Amino acid sequence: MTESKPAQQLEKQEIYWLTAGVGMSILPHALHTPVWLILCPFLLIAWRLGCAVRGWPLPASGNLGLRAICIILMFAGVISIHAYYQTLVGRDAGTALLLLLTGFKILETHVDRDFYISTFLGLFIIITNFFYSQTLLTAAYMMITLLIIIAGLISFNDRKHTLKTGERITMAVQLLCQALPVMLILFLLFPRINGPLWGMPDDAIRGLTGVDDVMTPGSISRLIQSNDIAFRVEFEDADAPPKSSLYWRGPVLTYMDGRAWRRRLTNLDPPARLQESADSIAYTITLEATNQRWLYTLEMPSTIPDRAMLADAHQVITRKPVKNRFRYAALSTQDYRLASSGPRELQRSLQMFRGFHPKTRALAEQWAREASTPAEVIARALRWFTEERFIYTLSPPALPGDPVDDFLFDTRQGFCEHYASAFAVIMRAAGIPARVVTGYQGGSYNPIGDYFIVYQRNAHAWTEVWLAEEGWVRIDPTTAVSPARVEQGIENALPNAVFDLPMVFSGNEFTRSLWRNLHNTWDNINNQWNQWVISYGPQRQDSLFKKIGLKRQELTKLILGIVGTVALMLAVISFGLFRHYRGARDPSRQLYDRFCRKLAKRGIRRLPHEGPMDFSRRAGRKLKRYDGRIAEITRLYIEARYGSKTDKLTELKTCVKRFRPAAS
Amino acid sequence: MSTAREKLQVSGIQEEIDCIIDAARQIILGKEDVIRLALACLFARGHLLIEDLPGVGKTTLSHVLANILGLAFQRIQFTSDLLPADILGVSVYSRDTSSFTFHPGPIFNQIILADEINRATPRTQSALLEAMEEEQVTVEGETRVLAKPFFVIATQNPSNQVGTFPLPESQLDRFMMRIKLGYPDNAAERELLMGRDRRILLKEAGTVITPERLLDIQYLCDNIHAAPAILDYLQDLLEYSRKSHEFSHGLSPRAGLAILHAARAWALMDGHRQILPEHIQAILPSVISHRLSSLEENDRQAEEPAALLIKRVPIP
Repeated sequence: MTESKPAQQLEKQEIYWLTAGVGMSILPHALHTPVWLILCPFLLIAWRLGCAVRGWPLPASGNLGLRAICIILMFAGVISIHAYYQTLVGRDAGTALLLLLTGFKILETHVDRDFYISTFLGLFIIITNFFYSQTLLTAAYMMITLLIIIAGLISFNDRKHTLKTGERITMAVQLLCQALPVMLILFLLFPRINGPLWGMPDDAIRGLTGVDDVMTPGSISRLIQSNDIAFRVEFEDADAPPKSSLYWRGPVLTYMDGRAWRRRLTNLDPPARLQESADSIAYTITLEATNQRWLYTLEMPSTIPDRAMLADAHQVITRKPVKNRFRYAALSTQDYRLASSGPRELQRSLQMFRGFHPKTRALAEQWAREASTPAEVIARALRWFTEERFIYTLSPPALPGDPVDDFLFDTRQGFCEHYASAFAVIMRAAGIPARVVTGYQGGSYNPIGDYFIVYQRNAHAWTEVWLAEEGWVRIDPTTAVSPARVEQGIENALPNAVFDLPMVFSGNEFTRSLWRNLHNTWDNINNQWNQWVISYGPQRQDSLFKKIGLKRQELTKLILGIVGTVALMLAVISFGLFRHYRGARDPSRQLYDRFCRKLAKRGIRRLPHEGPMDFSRRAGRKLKRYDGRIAEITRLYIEARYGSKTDKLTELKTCVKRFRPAAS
Repeated sequence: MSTAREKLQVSGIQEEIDCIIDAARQIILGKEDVIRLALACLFARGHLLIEDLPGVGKTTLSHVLANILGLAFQRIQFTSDLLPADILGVSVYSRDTSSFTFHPGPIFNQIILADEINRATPRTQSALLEAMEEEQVTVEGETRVLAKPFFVIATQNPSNQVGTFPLPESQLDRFMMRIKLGYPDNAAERELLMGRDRRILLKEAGTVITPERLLDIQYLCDNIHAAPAILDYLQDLLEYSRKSHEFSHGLSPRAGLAILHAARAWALMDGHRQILPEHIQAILPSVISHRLSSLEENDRQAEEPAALLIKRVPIP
């Protein structure tokens, strides 16, 4: 009855389904893979399609020349990948290798087994796409791809063509919907561990843009063109602070080597915690992966997030680099006095290498002599920025010589890092301890989701100077040049720079607000997706468990529960499936099948629709010697299976056992 | 009567059935399979529709069956002006008794040959078909039971001929089987041409069994065992016909019952006390050919629906 399917050639439409599904799973890799590399699997797939449509010879069909060409091509591909990536492991090279070899597997596909392997490769490639992007769009696209691959499997198992294309897709949707409860249970209840299940390869977090802990001229303006999101902020109170006071504190740079400002992890005493005040601002930040150790907080943090440390200069540091989206809550106060952690800190904030910036030093020293208090020097410096023709621009000229002197006395065009750097140098030269603070300033409010989005383009640098009576005071020299930057945000300060507003929407105010609404809604959806799906970690799971009255300690129970539930579901499904195989369970039928298998070995196969009498006559004619015995077994089988009494079973069993037809 | 019937043995019946077939074969040459199917239909208490061209022996077949089985036979020639009363009968006022006397129509016979049924108007057709279904007729408010056994053989010309009212599908469903006689083969034709007139042979052919015996056979048919495995097979066939896209619509539950009853009769004629898959396969073409039609778009349309169904559904 169950004859094994002969290794037959795949039909055209099966190849269409397969190539469509696998091609769809490969396609998103085009976004980050070099063109020559992504073309390889597609060309191989096209070759296979050509074989199916035009009847070209298959490489697997035994043509030695073609086989040799394929093997050579494959080695050439692998060597090229190695040459390009200098390795074959890791996220990028590994994926590239997988794509190439999948292409060859599809080219080779000509029997049933190949079809299954290629299908599973397609499913695996779906997962690799999530190494690169975990957005809602990616997930939706991959869902569609999965659907196509499953529909391909369905059509592969529907050789009689009883289903139309639409019905195959409907059936695939049904199957996925049936899998949905299992998926949800596993997603919600499967014990989560901190961090990702497996470590992302190192190259996955390389090349992230963001604020660095080295500031050179141009290092921040480079970020301005980026529409990437740095983090999202939800304020707990209804009214958030005004935009102009949204200074998001990042790395504090104290070490100036003449050109670049650097952060130095020091063993200075940690600063005193700030007192909580009545007007503390509570907020939650969802930080995108930075691969850096610092967290951004609103100036000035009074209560720092869990699992973080307050380092010198009120920087908030985590134990490990942030390699995944990280959500943390903090409290800040805007009414603060930042004390120094000690004389060494002040001393460091005055250090400069001798011999650099001679003009600047001369100017600063002159100012210091003429002023009576540090405050006067500060005011004079800021006034200088305003009165002299300094320009706030995204594309300042290059500063190949002394970056501070050339900027202050020659070009006078700069971005926030130029002003912050120059101002801090002036202060230090004038004997006032100063340091550069980097981070972000401002943010876009999303009214749909009631949160702020801080983009990479909000990156900013400002300074802090030490005044004996007031402690560390924030001075933002950029405001002297371009007050609009802080008051109205970067988008208004640099009207010529094009941010994410597409040309179609830039016509009038209505289309602009329409775009803003669409943009905000979409970002809100993404934010929810990030919060509830991507960042569904142990904490969220714990709170869910609490809601349904489970404890983390009951993990064993939980796992047993999951296994039990899934097993139960599978049992229900299998019961539904196997209900149709009633015949196979009947003992007389089993014996008869055994008898048929024995005859099949002699080359006489019973057709699925052939009745026992017909088969007995046909077999009897072919195996004359066993004519009588075949008729006898058939008679007993008929009695046992179709008759009203079933006492012939033992007799049938002995007869079938003794039946050993020799080859005729 | 019923106690006596319970003692009946299949074996005795078997020879009588063989005798019936033998006798019929003498007259209708080279058509044993058709004779067997017609008898199976009769034994299963079904009605038979013969569809073929004029002159291939449709009328002769019904005559033969009536003669051999000793049944009261009446032929009704269906024409476009035939009225229901012509079939069922009328009440006529009798002066002798000063009351209406019912004059039964031809339907009160045991074997009715409804010749060229598709030439009558639908109204007349329905009168016959209702009688077939109910096994009784109601004329002028009085219900009269029909004879037993009651067997209708309707013949119909292929419906593309001029002046016909094709039977709608719902009425075709009332017939258990639809068979075709077809042309005789070479040898049979030669014998037919050389032999004596069929009509004389028909008159000479004596009765083989009594109507009582026929009722016995029908009773035995009902007691042929249908094992769960056979019902599984039957249900698989029905389900396939309903789910597959190869047919315009699936088989009705009535079709399922017809297959089962016909298979019982066939098993009995084959000398078995239980239905085998082969019995279902043997009667399936005649039972479903008028109930199931392949879709035109199917490129295997040359294949008969029944053959297709048999091929597609494995025996469980």
